[in-house]
Amino acid sequence: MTAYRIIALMIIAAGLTLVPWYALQDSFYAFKWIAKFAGKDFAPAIIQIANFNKLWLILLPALLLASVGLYARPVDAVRAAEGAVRSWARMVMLIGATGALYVLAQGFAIGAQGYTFDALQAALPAISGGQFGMGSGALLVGFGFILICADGIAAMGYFRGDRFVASSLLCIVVLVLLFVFFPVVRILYEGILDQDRGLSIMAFWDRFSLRKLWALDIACLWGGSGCGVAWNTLWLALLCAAGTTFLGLLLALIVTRSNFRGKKALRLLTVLPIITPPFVVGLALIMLFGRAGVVNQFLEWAFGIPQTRWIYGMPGVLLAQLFAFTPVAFLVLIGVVEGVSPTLEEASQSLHATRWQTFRHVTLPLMAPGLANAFLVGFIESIADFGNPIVLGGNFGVMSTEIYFAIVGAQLDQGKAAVYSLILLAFALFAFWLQRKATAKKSFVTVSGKGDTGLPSPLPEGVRRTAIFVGVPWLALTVVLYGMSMFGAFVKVWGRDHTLTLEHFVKGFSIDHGPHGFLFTGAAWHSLFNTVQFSLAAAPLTAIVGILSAYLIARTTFKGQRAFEFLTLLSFAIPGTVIGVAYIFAFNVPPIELTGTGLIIVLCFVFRNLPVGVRGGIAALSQLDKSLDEASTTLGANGATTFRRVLMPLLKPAIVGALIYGFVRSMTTVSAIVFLVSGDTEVATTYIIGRVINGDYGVAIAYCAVLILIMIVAIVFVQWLVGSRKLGRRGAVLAAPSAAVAVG
Amino acid sequence: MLCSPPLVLRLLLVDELELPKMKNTTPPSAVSAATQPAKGTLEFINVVKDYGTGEPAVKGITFRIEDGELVTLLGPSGCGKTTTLRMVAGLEMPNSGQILLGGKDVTAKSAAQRNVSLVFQSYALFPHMNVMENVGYGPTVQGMKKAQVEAKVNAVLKLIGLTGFEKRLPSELSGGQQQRVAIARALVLEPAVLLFDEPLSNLDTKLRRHVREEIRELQQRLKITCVYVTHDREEAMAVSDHIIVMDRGNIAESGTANQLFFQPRTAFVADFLSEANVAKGQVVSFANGAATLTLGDARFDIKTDAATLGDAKIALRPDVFEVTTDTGNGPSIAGVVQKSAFIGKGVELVVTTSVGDLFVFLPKERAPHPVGSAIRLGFAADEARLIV
Ligand SMILES: Nc1ncnc2c1ncn2[C@@H]1O[C@H](COP(=O)(O)OP(=O)(O)OP(=O)(O)O)[C@@H](O)[C@H]1O
Ligand SMILES: [Mg+2]
Repeated sequence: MTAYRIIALMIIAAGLTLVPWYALQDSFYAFKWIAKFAGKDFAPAIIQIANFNKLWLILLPALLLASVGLYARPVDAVRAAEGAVRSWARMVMLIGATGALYVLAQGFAIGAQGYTFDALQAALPAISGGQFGMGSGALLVGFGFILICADGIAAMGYFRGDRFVASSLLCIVVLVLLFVFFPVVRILYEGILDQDRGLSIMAFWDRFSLRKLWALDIACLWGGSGCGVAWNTLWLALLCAAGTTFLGLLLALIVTRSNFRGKKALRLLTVLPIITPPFVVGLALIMLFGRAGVVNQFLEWAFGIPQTRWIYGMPGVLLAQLFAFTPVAFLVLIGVVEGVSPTLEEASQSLHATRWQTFRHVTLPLMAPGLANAFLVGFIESIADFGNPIVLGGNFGVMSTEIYFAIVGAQLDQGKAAVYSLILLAFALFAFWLQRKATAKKSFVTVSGKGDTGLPSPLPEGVRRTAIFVGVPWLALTVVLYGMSMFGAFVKVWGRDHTLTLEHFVKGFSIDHGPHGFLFTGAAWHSLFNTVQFSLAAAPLTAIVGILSAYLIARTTFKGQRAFEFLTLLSFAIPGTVIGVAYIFAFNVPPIELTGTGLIIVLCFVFRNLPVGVRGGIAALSQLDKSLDEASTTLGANGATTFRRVLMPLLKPAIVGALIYGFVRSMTTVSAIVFLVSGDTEVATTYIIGRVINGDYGVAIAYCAVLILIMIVAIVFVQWLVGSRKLGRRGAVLAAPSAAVAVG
Repeated sequence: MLCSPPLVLRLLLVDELELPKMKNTTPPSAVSAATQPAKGTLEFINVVKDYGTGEPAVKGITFRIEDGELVTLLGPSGCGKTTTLRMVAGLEMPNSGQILLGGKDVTAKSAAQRNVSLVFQSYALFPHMNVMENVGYGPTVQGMKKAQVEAKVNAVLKLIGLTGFEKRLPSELSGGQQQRVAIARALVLEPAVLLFDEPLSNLDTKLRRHVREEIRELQQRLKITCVYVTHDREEAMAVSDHIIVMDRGNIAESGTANQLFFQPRTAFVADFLSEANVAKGQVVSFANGAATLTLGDARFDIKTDAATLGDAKIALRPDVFEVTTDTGNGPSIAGVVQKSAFIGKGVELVVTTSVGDLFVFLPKERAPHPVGSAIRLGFAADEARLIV
């Protein structure tokens, strides 16, 4: 028997006999369960069957024995007929599949009070008692059966007989189905449940057709407040997309097509959206334009203009989004502008076109698909944004904040939250779909690998002026904004008492030296440790699943590959708030009970950042010649060896990129996890929200500053770590793939 | 390549190469060893490969390569050579048909399970591994001990003339040296069959002839079965025992270089291998292995196994002609010079005749013929071939 098979069988056996079958109240690693090994809540499956009446679990040990039997007598591939080998392999596959599916099915079918569906009650033998969420035992058994199923599939001749490919594919599909697809479907289900938890389309319709959502009033185009939340969201997103695309294009033109001096510094802008915690821009705007803001105070002092609250509402949110997301558009568009071949522009000029005609008829059309892409990315960013509307929205509601209030507000209306989430999801998926179409057409922009000589033509005068006169002040304002917000961390009360102080840092991050060593007495330490811990746990998982998925997509061929790719990229299109809502619906009840644990937060991080890992991996793999894999294969290496010894070392930059990205994005995520944290698992961003809602801006800002610092240190450290190795001619690509910049 | 010790010397060292026991990747067969073909025998039976993008890339080919032979797959671009080679390696799976290696069916076996190595056109050396690691990769991943691997790699590097380069990265080697590392890496597993996909295409013209001779001599020395892909007919004729000429996914013809060059049976091979003129003539009579043909105003006899009376295609290589004034001495055909050029090693002509334009190469002449002049082209009757 091969090592693979022995390991699979041992995993199942261990899952059935050694570890608790059900989820534990406290951590697995507290190891309390060892002391109470045979207790009702702690026992492994075998004891649950024997002592606690969980008779339905008996199928699992039976299936284990069946697979041992099959493996003990493999069909001799040489002597037996072709058909015999296949039918043996099919048996292996079926047993594995049955085992894995049964673990899930029994979990869904039997809940705390016995059967979850009346139909089952009628059809199946009566059972006494019920069961709670599944735990480590179930996880191991399910995993083991998946391995066996993959073995059978490979033995049947699929995936060129490669178990590594079959089993990684199967595992990733199961994970993505469980943690992306299932939660989303769960929202749909929640949306059509009525008050008494019966299914009813009318309940859905009632929530969907609310006036609050769809009321339309032409006045809200210029700031009136009579419009429905859905329209608000769309209108804001359109303005934000248009604005960020325009500004991003100007900045990109300045960098690539002018002799503006600060170009290098400008490129730094591209990292900003990645390392900025979501409230920094909003808070800085309040400090500048809020009631106690510098600008307002100055205006009142100098001209007697009374202070206003205009910043709270649509204009403020839009402004904040423009500041926050213009760097994203810039990131997308810089590639697009650079991709326009200078030769084509030279050709145009040699045909006696003026600069403006060249720009208008050659350059712009070539950039059109890229512009469309930037527009859609801006749109998706805006509808998914939660941090800015919550800080600056005031009475101006958008979908993401409405969902938040439906869950945490006084009414706690799950159905409403579900339907709102679905609407938001529909917007996002539509935009995502458009974006994919736009990028698919991008190919004619990219230049060929052949050295494209020629200088980019200078910009027409009008365009150049606009770029400089709009772009440069915008940049200056961004710098002021960031500087201001950092400054805010060091003054007593912004707007009133500008004495310099370290008080906010002390409050958050003081360390005392007690008799038992150091004590982290600051209020923020707990959440900071949590954040770092969860992010450190999530980053490698993101990288592994992401790169493995990329390998499966780019380097193997199987039916349904397109669908698989779509599935792994799907979570990019799901706004964070929606994912958060989906997770509480899906994982608050057995069989997978995760709410309140750190695990759910880590999982949420992993699957939200997955698309970036996948895209980065695909991009990196496409630069490696396929014949390298083939050479390895012909030399007798299987998929796993090739992956480990040939691809992994060459993919190091991509892996590091995915690691950093996974870490940094996790540190700054807020919308997705705001519902998922509990007192124990509070993280930095949710702690900051709490301070902002209390009006305690000083600490909030100080915290943001600390986060930014940590992220910069992490990035620099990893860069240095990678940089000191010999990586050949390729440099580490740390900038996230443009279109994949994740959504807040 | 050029600055390495002479090939003969290196080949003398080959006996030092301790041939470790091959891991037998195919289980012992029930058939007795006596009737079993040797391990390097390769057989294709009706193999079809369709990528599903229109016409199949390979449309049901059958051939057999004997143990220890070097066989070339030759044909124009896109005819399916690489596809065929990749099916031997197990990198593509045929849609139907059978592939036998050493008499055993390996059709369903993956590349890793076949005792076959491929030298890639791009070499595909692992850029992050040095020469030692690259060459030792195969034995290492198959679980051989480190010391053994090193001994083995050293032997192969010696054989191929790369001793002293063990610690270099591929990026620190010349193109020719990279090529040799690629060959060493393929050889180290002592494959039953060694495959080359256009191994010379990345080398400059001067090196090509040299490397091709080296490959040939190495192959002869090791008596290893090789399948070699190229679209250069001269290269093919120079290195191979047999040539398989492919045309749009089919085998047009196969045979030794000599057979295919002098006795092609198809117009495609006649044209592809020797740029022969294919002209329309008649078979007037056929009996006892000899046929009488007419071509324009020429009438002559040839030896042939088969012929059908009536219209026939006759192939005449450009170099079989000579300008003659004599009509009595062997067959000849009259024409007018259309184009004429002196190309150094001789004169090329295009002559318009009653059977169409003929392309003629006259190795002995030193000056072009004036365009428009009437000439008579004589040829030896036994150089003419009846083709289908
Ligand atoms: N992966 C593929 N998918 C689809 N079609 C393919 C693929 N690989 C090759 N083909 C097609 O199959 C046919 C044969 O290709 P193959 O690579 O075998 O040609 P070749 O004889 O090696 O040509 P060359 O001398 O140019 O290398 C071509 O028409 C090619 O377009
Ligand atoms: Mg080829």
